[in-house]
Amino acid sequence: MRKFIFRVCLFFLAIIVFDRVFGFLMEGISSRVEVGVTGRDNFICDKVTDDMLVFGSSRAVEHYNAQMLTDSLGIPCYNCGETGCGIILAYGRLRMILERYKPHTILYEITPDFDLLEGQDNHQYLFSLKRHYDRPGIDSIFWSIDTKEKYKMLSKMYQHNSSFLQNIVAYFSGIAGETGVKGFRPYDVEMDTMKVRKGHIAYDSSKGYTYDSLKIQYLNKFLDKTKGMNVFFVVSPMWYEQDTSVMAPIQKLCQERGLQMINFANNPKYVHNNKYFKDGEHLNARGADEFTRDLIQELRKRNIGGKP
Amino acid sequence: MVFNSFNFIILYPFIFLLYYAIPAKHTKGRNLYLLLASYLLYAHWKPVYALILLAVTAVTFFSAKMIAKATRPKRILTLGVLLTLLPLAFFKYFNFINDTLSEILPAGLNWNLPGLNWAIPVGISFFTFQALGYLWDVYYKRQEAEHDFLTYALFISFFPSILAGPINKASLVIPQLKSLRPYFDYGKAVEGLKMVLWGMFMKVVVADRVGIYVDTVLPSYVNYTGLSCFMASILYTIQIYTDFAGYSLMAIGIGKMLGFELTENFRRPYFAVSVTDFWHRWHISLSTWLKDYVYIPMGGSRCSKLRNYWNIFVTFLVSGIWHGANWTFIVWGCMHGVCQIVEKMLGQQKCSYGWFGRSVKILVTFLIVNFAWLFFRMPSLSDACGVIARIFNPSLPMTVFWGPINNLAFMVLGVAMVWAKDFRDEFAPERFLLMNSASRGIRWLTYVLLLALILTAGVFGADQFIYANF
Repeated sequence: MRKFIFRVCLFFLAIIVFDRVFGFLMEGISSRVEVGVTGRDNFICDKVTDDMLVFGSSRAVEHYNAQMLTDSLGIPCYNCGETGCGIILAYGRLRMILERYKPHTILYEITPDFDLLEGQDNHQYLFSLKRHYDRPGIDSIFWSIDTKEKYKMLSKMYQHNSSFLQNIVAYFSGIAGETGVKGFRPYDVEMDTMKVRKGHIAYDSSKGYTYDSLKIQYLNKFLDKTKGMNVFFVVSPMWYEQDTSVMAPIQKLCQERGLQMINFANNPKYVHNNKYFKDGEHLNARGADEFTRDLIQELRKRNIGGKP
Repeated sequence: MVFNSFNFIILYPFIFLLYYAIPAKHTKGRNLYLLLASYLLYAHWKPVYALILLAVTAVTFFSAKMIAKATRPKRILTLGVLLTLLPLAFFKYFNFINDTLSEILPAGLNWNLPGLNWAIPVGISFFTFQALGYLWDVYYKRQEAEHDFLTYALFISFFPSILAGPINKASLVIPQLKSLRPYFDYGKAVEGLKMVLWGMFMKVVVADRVGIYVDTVLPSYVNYTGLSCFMASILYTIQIYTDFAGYSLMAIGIGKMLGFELTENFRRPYFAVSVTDFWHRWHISLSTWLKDYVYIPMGGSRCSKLRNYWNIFVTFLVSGIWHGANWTFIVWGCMHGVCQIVEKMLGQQKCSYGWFGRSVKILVTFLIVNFAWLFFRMPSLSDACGVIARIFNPSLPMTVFWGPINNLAFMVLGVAMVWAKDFRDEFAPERFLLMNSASRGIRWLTYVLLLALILTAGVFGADQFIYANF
């Protein structure tokens, strides 16, 4: 028994040594990656200095032409959205950005599934934050989702779980996914009509909505950190008609905090208009440019940016 | 509590150490401790369901004792079997039977209890079948009725196997529980740890990784090409194997670490040369159970050919029903039954060809099993047929959705490692002994790299095992 316990301890000691060496190497590599998802993430967390920032999910990444916003409004803009993510990642990224500087304007694209509703496993939003766990304020995000993360994150290998391969390839070959232009990654494709059906309404109020209290809590924290900045909640267009009652918590937040919401849901210019979309939820490159132009007009009405 | 959950990983070393803190001579004390641990781990899910486990244990324990003494034991057996099956029938099949009756009967009966489907006590199919097997063994006088309730309760609730098997035979486990076990068996414990390590790799690195692709494509198959659907079906075939075999390996390994031998459950099923051979390699403990308590009592193969085919069909119909309350499982079971009947008719159960013939038979069996799994995976018969129709639709573009490149790379790596190990075990068991190498350096390097792969490439957060749902 003693021999067994001794050898198991020895095994874990070997694992700890391996873990530290691996962590040291991967931290060095991943922090130097300049391309792909990690390169974009490094830029957002460590280098971005633009006055206007866009946050949100893939609907932010693919819809907000940051270069067009910069050129038209005269305010440097960067798109900090992330596919499949919402307020939990956005809050983490904002915390890291605020360590360096304070942006002037925030555009937050609301996607109810990622920002309001219950249903998704909140662990998924931690993926891009794992590498930044040791930075101020980031660790508590992990603990708020799952207290066990406190112990899991002791392992450096776990911190680089599922990302080490792409980071090694990106570092040594410089080949990785597209970083985008100022974080904006449009899809220059035609609408895939197989993927949509008319009559379907995005979000179904018939069973009532169950909101995720943690996401609402992070929306509030996000707004606390952005005090003194111009914050706009934006709902960009969908091919589908939308039940906008799902946005009730956002409308309430806007009322309480005196914020403005720019809502393109059910805008007749976009609903069921194939030429602007790649699928039911995402604009294509043409649609993204059109939407950005419309958004610029709305922002100008609200005294953001210079006159054309 | 599933083995790859963080809670279990933290708790198990304490369970292990406390178990060995009890001197070996106190066999009863050790058993009592394991029983308490088993019930606590089971109750962790939903405490009230431990009462169902206890009820099934008590019913079969006392029924077996009465059967052993009775002059006309059949009535007691029937009553015992019905009472044992009652919770399973109620929790797992009530809504299915009720829905089916509602559709058949014109009056439109509907006593739906909506809470039942999600509230199925975990492992109920496994511990119910294990208890029933014991009852029949006592009836057929293959096993003496157990007189010690503690021993019997531990046999039914033993935590490594309660959630998803293996379905152990009383003749294998009860003697181990009653005998004076050695204080600690170093070789067994190391062997057990290796099994846990490889099982964990199969589950979190392979099953959960390919599951990401499968869960993206199959639920919305109408959006994907036939080739993507085919790839998803192949990956589901890999997922269900690595998920269930990984779990079984961990269960057997955990049992070994505590000094117990449990039933082997998988023997490289995708190297089977026929569907019949597949069932000698897949979920062996269930196949054995079905053979012993359904197939043989019906007459087995010692009867007319036609009757024998009927026996095979009914056995696999029962297997389908056991897996779930849905027509998809019944069709899946029937498909396997029909395939085996055809193989028997054509004399194709075994392989008497050379390596080429054998390779072809392995490939054909794999594809048959693969298509049958689609019925197992999809929520309805129309969805399963929909996926198959897409796979064979030549008008669809011949493109494949690969998913994120990162995920693809880990998928390829994990699947290749599992395939290589199974290939080695099947065709060259004495070569490339990494975890069992004579060289300590190679052994240790393999252990460390395997755990490193689990931590860096594993999918964490997907705690549930597919078979735990049954």
